[in-house]
Amino acid sequence: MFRAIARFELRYQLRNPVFWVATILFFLLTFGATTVASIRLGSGGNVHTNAPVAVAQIQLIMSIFFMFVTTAFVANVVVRDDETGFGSIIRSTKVDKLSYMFGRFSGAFLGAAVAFLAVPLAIWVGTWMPWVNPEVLGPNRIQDYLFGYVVIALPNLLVTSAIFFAIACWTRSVTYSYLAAILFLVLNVSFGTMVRKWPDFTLAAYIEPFGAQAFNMATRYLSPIEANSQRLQVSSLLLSNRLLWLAVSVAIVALAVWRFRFAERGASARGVKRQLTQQTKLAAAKPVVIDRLPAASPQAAAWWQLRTRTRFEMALVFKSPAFWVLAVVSALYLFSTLNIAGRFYGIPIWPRTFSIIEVVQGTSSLFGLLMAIYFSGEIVWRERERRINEIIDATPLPNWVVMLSKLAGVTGALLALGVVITLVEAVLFQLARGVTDIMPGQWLAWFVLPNAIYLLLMAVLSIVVQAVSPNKFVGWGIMLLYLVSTLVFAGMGLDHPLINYAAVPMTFSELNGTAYGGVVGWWLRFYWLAFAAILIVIGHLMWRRGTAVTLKGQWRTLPSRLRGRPLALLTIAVVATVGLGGFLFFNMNVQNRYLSVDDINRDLAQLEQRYARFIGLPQPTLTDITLDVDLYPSRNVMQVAGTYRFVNATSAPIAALHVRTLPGAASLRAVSVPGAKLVQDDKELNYHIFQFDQPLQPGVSGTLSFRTILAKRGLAALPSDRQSYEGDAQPAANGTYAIGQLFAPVLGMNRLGFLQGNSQRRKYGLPPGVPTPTLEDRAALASNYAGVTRVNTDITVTTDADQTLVVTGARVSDSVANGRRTARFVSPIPTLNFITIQSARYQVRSADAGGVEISVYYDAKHPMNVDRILGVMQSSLDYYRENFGPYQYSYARVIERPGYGGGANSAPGTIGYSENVGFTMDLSDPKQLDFLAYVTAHELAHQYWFHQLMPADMQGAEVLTEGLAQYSALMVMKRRYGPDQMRLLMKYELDQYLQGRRLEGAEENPLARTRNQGYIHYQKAAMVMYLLQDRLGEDRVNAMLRKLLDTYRFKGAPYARSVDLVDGFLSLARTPAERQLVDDQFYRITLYELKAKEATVRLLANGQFETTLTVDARKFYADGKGNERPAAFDELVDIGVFATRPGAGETDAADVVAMQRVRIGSGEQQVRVVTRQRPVYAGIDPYISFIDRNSNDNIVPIVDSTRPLH
Amino acid sequence: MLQLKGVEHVYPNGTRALDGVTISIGKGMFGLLGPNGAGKSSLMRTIATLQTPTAGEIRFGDIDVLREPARLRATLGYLPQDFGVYPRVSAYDMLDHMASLKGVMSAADRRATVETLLVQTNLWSVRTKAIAGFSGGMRQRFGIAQALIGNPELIIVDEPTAGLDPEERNRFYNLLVEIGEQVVVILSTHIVEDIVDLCPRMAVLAAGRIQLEGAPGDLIAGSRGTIWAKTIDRDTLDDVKAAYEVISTRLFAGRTMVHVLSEQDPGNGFSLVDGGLEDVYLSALTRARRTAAEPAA
Repeated sequence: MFRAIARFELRYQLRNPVFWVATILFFLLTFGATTVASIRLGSGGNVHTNAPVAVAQIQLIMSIFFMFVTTAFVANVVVRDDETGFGSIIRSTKVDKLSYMFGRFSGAFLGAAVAFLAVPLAIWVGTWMPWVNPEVLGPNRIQDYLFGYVVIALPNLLVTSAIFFAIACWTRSVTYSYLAAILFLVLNVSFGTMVRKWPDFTLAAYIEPFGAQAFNMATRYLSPIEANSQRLQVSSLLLSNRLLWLAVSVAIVALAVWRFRFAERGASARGVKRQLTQQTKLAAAKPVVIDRLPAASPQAAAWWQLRTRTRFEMALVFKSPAFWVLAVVSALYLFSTLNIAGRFYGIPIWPRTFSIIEVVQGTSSLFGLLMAIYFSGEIVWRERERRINEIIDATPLPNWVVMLSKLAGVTGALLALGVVITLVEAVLFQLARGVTDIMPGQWLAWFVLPNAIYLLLMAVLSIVVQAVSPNKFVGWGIMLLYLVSTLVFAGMGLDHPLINYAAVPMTFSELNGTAYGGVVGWWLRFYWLAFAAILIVIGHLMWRRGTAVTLKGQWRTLPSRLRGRPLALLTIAVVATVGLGGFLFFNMNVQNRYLSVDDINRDLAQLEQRYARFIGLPQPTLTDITLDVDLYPSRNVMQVAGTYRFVNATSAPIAALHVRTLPGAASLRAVSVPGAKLVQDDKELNYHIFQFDQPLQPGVSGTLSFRTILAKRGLAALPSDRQSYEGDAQPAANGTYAIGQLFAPVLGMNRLGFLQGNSQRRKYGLPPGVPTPTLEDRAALASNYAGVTRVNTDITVTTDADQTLVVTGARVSDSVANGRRTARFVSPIPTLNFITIQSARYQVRSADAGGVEISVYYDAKHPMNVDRILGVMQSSLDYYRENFGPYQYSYARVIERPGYGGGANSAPGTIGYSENVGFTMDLSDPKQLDFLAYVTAHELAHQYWFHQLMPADMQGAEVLTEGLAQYSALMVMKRRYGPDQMRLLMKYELDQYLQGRRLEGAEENPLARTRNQGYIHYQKAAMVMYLLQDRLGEDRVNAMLRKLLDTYRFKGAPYARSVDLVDGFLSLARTPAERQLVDDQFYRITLYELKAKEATVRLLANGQFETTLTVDARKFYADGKGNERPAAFDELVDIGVFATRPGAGETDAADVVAMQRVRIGSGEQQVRVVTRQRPVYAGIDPYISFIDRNSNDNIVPIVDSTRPLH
Repeated sequence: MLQLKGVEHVYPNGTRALDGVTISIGKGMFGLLGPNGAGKSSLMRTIATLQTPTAGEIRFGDIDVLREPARLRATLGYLPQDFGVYPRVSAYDMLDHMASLKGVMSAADRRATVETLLVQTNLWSVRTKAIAGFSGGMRQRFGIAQALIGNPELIIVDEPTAGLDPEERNRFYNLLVEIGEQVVVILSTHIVEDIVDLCPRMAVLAAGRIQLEGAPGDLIAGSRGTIWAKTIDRDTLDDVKAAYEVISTRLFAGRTMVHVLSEQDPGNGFSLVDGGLEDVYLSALTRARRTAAEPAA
């Protein structure tokens, strides 16, 4: 009996459309996640897309989301018979409850299990897709897929099936089951966030139902090699977790079956009473009864009917549970994304409108699109599905009202959720986070109107697609294809805004408003609205009213129905679409250049193919730059006239001068070199060669004059690559940030900006990239890391009178005449050729820091952190001057600029901050890390470690720039905030480093050989420098650094290299162990595992407490691919005992009972600490100074050994 | 006055649902009788502008229905044979909405319309309940209520009493009779008593054609002398069927009563009976079957 029921149920589920929709949906989701390079769930870097870990991880993630499918399956099992009315028949047969319920549950669970096979299948199919980079794939092994499916997915499906089966049994409602599923998901997510703060994940790994924690604990520190090759083992933790939840599932189902009653539930006493009162109320109302019914006047009612019908359609959407499910999910999604929006190192931002609007738009668009797809299917087919179509179609409702009202209904529902509710939620979030200046104008212009139009366009597309589809499922399928196309098109080079329906890229800046891309955005919206009008007419003409109307029939009779108004509308819409499209195309592609990613790469490849042969050709050196710049911010025009002075600094005559502008920069309008003539003028790639009439002799100077204009003609499209926004936006209306390479030529050819990535290079017929010179390459010492020389600058800029100018150099004059401001800036010393010209309506706050004028230039709406920045500048300058040497300028500036993707950077005497970094950071919680101070100190340190000391262009260069800037910033932080914040900071850096090395795409280098590897030269360098100054002494390290700086300050070739720094550290080492430590940190990839296993305390006879801590210590050396070999551990390590748990945020110096540095060897050993006070926690390396692969097991609670355990 | 001339409808799969239907229907209740699959619903839908016939002409008063379906819809009340409802919508709201769709614009008019109809159809007490939860009879009454909105000139009710108990059926017909005098009401059914009780005029539709048309009384009178009955043993039924044109068989006290169609006395123990409408109907069907079989033979 049980088997028959289960088999029937399984067959039923397999025929259910839900089964197929779910299967296809999860197939597509997984397929996307495995084949779209930017998604890559569970893998990334060197970890293959189909690595055992990734295959299991994808199935793990999907099995969590699959919860909503299993809910549909098992809830249907319980509720179906009541809904169809078949229940009484079945329950009156001899079938017993046990086999009936268990049978059905098993059938539904098996159905879900079969549907879930789509996930591993999609991974497998995905690995065969031609566009997937073969480098990210490993061999497909059946056991990897089986592990994920059997160990991870199946138990998860069982758990969710059981839970929601029980809930459906209890509530007998599909809707409640879904709500419970959402609640469950929310609880699980918040549980996940909560345990991240727990010191020990083990407990969480047992009780977390999906096994995610247990799986994560088993795999998170696998090196890429291990992750790719190791067969996954069922760790004991994972096994216990699975068995526990298997048992829980069985118990839940058993309980649900036991409690389930076949009989239908009667109304509760309260329900009866409520009904009674309602009935008396209803009976009390007297109807209006008339003899003859009023006549109808349908001829005049069309518009009014449209309104009524729209309201009715909307009401039906609002009444459907799906709407509220989506509303709740979207609210959760919105709040969680808002909460993490803009965070760096976990620091929240002040959620000002411009800085959260993108997140809000993202949520609104995502859920709007999902809703549009779902509800269009429901709404278009509702009458037919509910079999009320004959009644409705026979009413005098005009044909055009039928579709338009449905469109308006969907649009209305979309606007209600996607715009109104979302807006209210976002504003509430702002208010809750203390932002009262909510900028209604920004909300309206940047969110409400654009997203309303976007949602309207989505509604039109999905309604019309349904109108021309043979059934709802085909319509949904087409929309899914559209969804996929929005993801895939850009990757295929089809990124032109005129071919991506409804896609209007936007930028948000409080400084610059929507001056960048705003106008063209509106033109694009009108273009797509016109196109949507075409769709509407088509949808109207193809609409099937009445019975027995086929698509084919509609198509055949289309011409006759086209006549009259539809034709007129269609004509207008087509003309408008073509007209607007043509106009925009002319503006984007003819007046300006529209470059797809492909075009940009092709240009780069051509540049390299044609001119790479000139790399290394001796060229004159630039010595002086004089610029006259006229800036017209409101017109987005910048005119530059410049003169370069150069000298032949080589020992041989130079015959030709190579002048070029970089890709993406303004091309030269005029260029002349006295005493030379233009012999090659490549306007396409902006490469120009001047032949000197007489070769330029060594030591002889010459000049070059040029003119450029930085401006756009008409309506340019935003670049396809968001990374180019910042340069492309210049000159911005308020917040111009023009850097020299945008508007000024460079001399000679170099590798800067060459196409990166070997697969890309292969695609354009380029040889593999030239590797970075190694540390041993002495010849490389001749060229510097920055790629520019030191020059004297003299720059005069004019701008609008109400804007403030900040330009490279010291301000020599600044005056206003005739509505124009003119200011001249002259470099006091030769500075690296990084010219910046910034102009905006700035507020300025300045202070004196020991003879240096420190100033912050900021937008009037962003004063929150200005004083903090000034304070940090002060303490940084104090520390640096005290320890490293003099600061080279009489000014230090921090300047805000529009947030078009840039972050923080350091030009001569000037630190630039995007408005999204620093200025809007909410640092009001003193327990939070002061990340703004960290970044500011770091950037200011670059005035030493880049602008004074310049490394050679070779491996390890960033150790001297970024690494030492990190060190300097850490020291400033230590002085400002004490060691407590340092633990927080170190933990972040450690985690980022460990994650970074997992995601490494090529090969991890030792610190001294890092190149373009941020996780090494920021995060690892910070860890290493902090450890070394702790072991070797801060003062000694600083003295060494001062010496290093003295050697290289402002010097030309040979430039500094990382070895100089390592040698400096080695010179500080007092013991072989210290030498070994320095070597390990810089020349090897060294990982540690320090673990506190247990700790006991006993009372000594003298009244003191002896704590015995069992620790385990290991050291590993890893190679670049992650292969590890153990090495002997022998270090002095901090052993601490505490009154409270360190790192929980509450510990201060008083809670440290004792802290000792103890010699620790490899393996397990015991350490004894005698204290006067009874400690509660004990730990090894509690402040995390080593690169510890698991820094969460360093501290244990102390067990009292004198008291017997109960 | 509704006039159909040569209305034909062939479905895409080749089924000829209507085969040259020509008929005039005046004011009052008009019964359209026919077996399942005779084309009744196709004809009803065609008149209700829900499907366009392959050929033919339909006029209602001065309206050319095929050219100007919108004009007919403006004065049409239609209750399809089988209909569902929107989920989670109460009877009151749905009627109100239907009134809007039919073009009752003023709120007061709509209120009067809805409330009068709710009272008339005896649904006033359940007006706030979702129609989805209504019993079959309540749902049919709601169906007729919506068909009456705006005083239509043409009312089409397709098999309205299927599945109703006798009491509900009665209540439903009382409603129809009340309104049936002033306007054209077409009632399709396969139940003969419905026609007898209600319709001054009727037609029999079978195999897509009008087989018979007239007042039930006239038709009964016209059939007089052609229906013969005999009570036989059950095991001889096949022989009788082979020998005579049997239009109906009915069990009566354990034996079988057969009615046969014959212009003359078939003899052999058959006796003339006073045929009711049912016999008229069944003999029309028999004739239709005969003609349908002939071309094939």
